[in-house]
Amino acid sequence: MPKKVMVIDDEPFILMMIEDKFKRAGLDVVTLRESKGAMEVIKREKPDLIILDWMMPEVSGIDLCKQIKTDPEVSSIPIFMLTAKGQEDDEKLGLSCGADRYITKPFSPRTLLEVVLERIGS
Amino acid sequence: MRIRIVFKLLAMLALFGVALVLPLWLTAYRILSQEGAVGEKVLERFYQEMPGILFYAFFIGLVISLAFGKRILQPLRLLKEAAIKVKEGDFSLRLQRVSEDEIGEVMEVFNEMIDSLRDKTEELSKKELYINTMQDALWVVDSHDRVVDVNPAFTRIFGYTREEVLGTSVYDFFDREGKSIVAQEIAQKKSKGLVSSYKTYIYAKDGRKVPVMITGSPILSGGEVVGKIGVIKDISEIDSLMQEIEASRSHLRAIMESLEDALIMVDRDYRIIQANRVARDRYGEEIVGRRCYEVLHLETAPCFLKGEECPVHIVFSEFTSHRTVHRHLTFDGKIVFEDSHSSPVRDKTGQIIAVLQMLRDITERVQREGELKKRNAELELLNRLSSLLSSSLRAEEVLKKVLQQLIETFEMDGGGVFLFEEKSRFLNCAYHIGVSEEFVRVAGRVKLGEDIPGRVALTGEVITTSDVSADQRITRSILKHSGIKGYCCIPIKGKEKIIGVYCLFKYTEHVFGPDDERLLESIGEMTGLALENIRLYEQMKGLFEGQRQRRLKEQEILLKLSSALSTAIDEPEVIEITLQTAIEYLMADGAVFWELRPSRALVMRLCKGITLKERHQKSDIYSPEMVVLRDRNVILFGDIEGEPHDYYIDEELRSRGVRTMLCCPVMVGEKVLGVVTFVSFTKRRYPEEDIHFVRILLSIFAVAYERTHYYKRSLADRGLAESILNAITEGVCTVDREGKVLTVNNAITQILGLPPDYIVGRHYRDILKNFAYSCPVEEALKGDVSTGEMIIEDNGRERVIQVTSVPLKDKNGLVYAAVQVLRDITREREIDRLKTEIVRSVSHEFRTPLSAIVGMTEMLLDGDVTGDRAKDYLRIMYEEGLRLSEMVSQLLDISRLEGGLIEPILEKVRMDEVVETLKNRFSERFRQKRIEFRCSIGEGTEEFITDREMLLQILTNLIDNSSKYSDDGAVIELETKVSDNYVIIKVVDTGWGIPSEDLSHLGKRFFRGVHGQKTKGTGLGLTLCREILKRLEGKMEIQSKIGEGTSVSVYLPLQGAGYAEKGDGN
Repeated sequence: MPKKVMVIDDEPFILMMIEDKFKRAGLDVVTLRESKGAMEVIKREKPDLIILDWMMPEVSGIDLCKQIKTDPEVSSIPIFMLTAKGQEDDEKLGLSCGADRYITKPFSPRTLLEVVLERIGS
Repeated sequence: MRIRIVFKLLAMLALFGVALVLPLWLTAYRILSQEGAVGEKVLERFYQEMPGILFYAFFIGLVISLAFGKRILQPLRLLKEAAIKVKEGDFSLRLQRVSEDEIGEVMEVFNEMIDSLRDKTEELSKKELYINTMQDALWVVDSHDRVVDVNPAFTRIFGYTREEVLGTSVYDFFDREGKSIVAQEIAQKKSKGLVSSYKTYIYAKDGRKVPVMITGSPILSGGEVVGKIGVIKDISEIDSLMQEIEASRSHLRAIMESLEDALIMVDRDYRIIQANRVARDRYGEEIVGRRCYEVLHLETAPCFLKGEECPVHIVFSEFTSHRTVHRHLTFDGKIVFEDSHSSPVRDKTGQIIAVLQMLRDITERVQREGELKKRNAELELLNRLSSLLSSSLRAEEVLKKVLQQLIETFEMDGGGVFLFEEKSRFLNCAYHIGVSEEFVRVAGRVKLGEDIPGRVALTGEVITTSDVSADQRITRSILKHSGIKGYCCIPIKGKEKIIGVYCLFKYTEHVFGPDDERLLESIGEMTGLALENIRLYEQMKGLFEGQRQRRLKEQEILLKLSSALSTAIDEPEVIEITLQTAIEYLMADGAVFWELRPSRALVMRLCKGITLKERHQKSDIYSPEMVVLRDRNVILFGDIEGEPHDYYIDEELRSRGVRTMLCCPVMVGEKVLGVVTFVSFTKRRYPEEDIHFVRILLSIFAVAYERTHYYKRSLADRGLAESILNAITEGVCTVDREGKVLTVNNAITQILGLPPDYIVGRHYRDILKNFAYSCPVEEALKGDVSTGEMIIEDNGRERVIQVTSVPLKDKNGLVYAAVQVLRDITREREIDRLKTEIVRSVSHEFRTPLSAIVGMTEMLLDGDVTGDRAKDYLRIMYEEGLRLSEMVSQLLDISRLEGGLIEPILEKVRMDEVVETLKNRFSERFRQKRIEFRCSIGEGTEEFITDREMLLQILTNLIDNSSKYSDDGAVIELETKVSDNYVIIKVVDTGWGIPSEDLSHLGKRFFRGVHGQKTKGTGLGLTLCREILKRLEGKMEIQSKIGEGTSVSVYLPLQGAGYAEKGDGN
């Protein structure tokens, strides 16, 4: 069973890049363009890791992260925030909401893959 | 007994003989009877008969020896068999005694022998068993000191097997010391054959040195020592135990010996069984063995028998420890008080076998306590007396009370007070107790130096006697025959002279100790002093009233002067008031104030009551004023003319008739400000107090004078400072050390919105508050320059005021005030905030397109995507790159517009040309999305004045938005018209519409509403439009309904920028 990574970002090309990169590495990738209703998908898909954008309409990545981390059913899933918010305060806020890692855009898909693999194991 | 076996043999021989002789005789008889005579024939016949006889004899002998032999041989055989069995170790058999002869006895003896042998053997085997099983090692050593045998215990203890040690020299088992001991012991055994025990060490096989006790005994053979047996006891445990015991004993002994207290152990017989060094030192070397009561109390029986508290008895009878203080005797007969602490010493069963007594010598303490008690009593007495002395100011009462107290304290029968009368040099009895008036009449008047009171009064020394009548010193006294025995006489000493004496007496003997004498003497002194004080008091009382009046007057003057000076700010006024006050006080006729100038010359500032030439100046060093200046001291001339002096007195003063002159310096601290000369036309004397008071007045004056001086100078400075302060735009306020606002400038009113009247006098905390961090004023008052920011509410708008506080310090570095500079930095803060926000959002907005460019390039380079997918990637990168560059150019435009770097270039613009340009720009987009673009150019809008490029930029953005946020086949309409000096250009689409919650955010930088997700954009288009319109002095209105479309109206001034307002105005 390949490991499953879920990517939630409102920018389609981000999803595209991560999907391409991760699938090549043998990972199962589930992409989601909006955060609304993401909880159901997460519960259904039970990914091994979630890559989450911060700035999203309706439900922000931060709020979604909090929701995930407080729901015992899915709270154990590691969350990587992938966001354009690069200020130090932002990183602190992101991590304080339960994110396991904070990665700023622009990012290297190669490095992202590495850190993801490092976390969940290939 | 032996006879019996001889008899047996004899009987046998006899029988044998009879048996042999009888046939011989019968044969001889028969032959003789037949032959009748002895002849040849007889002999012949005898020979013939001989064999038969011999045979017969042999037969008889055989029968007899058989019969007898059996009786002898049988027991012999039994004996032999038994001997063999015994040899084999069977000691169980016993022989039956077969006969009562010697053989029987032999058998009996044999039986006994077996018994004895059996016992011996059993004993031997027991011994062997014992040797083999014994705990202690054993060795047998031959005469050459070689080991010939050891027991198993030897092997067990030392590890050597029997085979290993056999034949070795015993000395191999010892170290050098051991060897010599053993050699000595063995030699002794050899020579004297003694049994001995000794301690040494034996090396075990594993190298251990085992402590052993060897009991050696010689093996004697024929009086010769042929070897030794040694029983070797392993005493390691005992040894270590012994060592421990020895250590603890010596420890105990050391403790006992080192104790500073005596320690004795007493048994049930009250016998001292142990005593430490201190005890031996204290009670004698030989106390051990003696009874405790003999040693400690010199008694012959235990103390408790006399009903005294005996700690030993108590411990033995009550089984508890006991503590008490006892009086003991030391070996040299000294009495010591000892704190005795006795505790039981118990044996294993808990039985008390002895009492351990710790005796601490507390003699000194006991004595000191006694001393202390005595001292306390004395002190108490003195105390009581002193309170008596101070309780009254009437001499008579004091004397009486003290006498009563003395009689009471010393348990006297009576006494009296003699007072010395200086005039007559007699001592008179002033008061008496316990004696008859008659006696007083006789003895109540004594001449100084006579009798005891007289002598005491003369010498000032206490005289005491236990018995007046027997005292050799007292030769001549009426007391001798008065029946008085105990007597004392104490001088009552004043500071310089004797005031009188106290006499105390008793009808019985009374010994006054040296302590008592000392006490009495001090009581006499005390009383004397008290009496003297009383006298002084009486004298003082008169003086005191005068002083009080004077103080009141002075205080009044001071009060008047200082209140007058405090309100005066004018120099001449201050001088005037002061001189007037001082003249009045001194009741002088006039005064002159000379002011000290920096040139060190004295210049007359004011004269009062006397007129001198104006501009009068002094610099000659002989004038009294100059000397006063130099010495800073007062000079008084009681009479200028009459008294000789070395000073040069002003001719002018002389000519005015001045007789008395008083020159005083005017000083503030060490600084001299000038000199005041008081003059009087009559001869005057000024007491010291008056001069002192004038100096006080002048020092008050000096302070006020200096203050006014500075005040004058600071007025000018302040004028300048105030005008500067009021000119600056920063608010300035000063606060004093307590934080009260002293001054403010004009600008502060604008900044704080509070009038100066309101601020001045208030505490700064009422005005300067809401600081983000610490309050700078507080810091400044502590001495540090500090800056802070405070927020003030101004019509619902928050304003940020920067407050910089600077401490003002005096020359000693002490802060006496703080100056605050207030600056409104709201705008700066706003700009800062905006700048940060823009940088933040820009960097954020750039990151997303950069993600595509950076990330995708990396993936392409890594070969993650190829073919058509790679093309898609490149397309996205291209699009995102474009978006990024568009953002940059729009941002640049916006900031240029904001910064006023772009000025509109106004010109006549034809609307149809503009429309044409737009159509060209969007033709591709319109075609793709099948958008219908409709235009209607209203009347009066064909041509108007504006910036062409700017207009195009606005419309391009609006049409771009319309086409972007709508489905394929939408309609975009552009309408223009004129209304109220404005050209209104309306762009209407049938697109998705904007939700009402987004409408208010439109035009904010990077804001992209709900549709932002579906489309590409910079979020800067409308911002740019608004900025351009600001420049063109136009405006924009947006209306939209979700699902129906959006309409944007752009208002441009008809006459171009700069005319719209004027047009409105007209």
